[in-house]
Amino acid sequence: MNYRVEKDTMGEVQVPVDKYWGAQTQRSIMNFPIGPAASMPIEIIHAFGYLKKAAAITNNWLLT
Amino acid sequence: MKIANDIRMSASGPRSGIGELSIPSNEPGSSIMPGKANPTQTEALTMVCAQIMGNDTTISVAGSNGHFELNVFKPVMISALLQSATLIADACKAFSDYCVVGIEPNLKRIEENLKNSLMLVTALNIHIGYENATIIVKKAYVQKPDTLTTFSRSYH
Repeated sequence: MNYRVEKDTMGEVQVPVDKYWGAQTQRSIMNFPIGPAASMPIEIIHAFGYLKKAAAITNNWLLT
Repeated sequence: MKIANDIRMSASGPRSGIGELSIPSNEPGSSIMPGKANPTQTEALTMVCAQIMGNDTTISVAGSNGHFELNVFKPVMISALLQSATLIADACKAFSDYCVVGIEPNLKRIEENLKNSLMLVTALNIHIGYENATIIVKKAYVQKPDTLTTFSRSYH
């Protein structure tokens, strides 16, 4: 598997090239091998997408 | 649940918490407060405990639902039990590997908390009596020096 390097304030971490997530999500995968892999419900991932979009729109609106 | 929470609270701080233990920082920190280190392994383990307590309730209800000579709730009981076993095994291993192995006592902080504890006065009960001990601890609380210093000032 090929990896790219992501960084945060703790340093560098290797993320598989076919994944979109960043350093902190990769660290969580390594630090919490609890329960079946990928057991976070997809609806929650989608909900966070809506939440982040709403936050971005609101922050942009407040700045202008 | 209790052990994880005791470790979490003993490791609170560094400035305004108990701060008697140091636990490893496995992440850059809080997503809200820069520099804050979260007790993430205790958070994960206590979440697993909450799930297991829920599964235990599921099993109790399922077990109580035999009707006449038959209980048909075994699939949900087995499912809940196996989920509990898997989660607690995984969570204990992660808690051990990423938290317990790196726990260090903060001896300086422990000594400060011990010496400043007003409840050291309990040891004086049998020597000077409960009422005298109460007077000393109230004096120590207001005047700020620790209990035993106040005691030695009062009695020498």
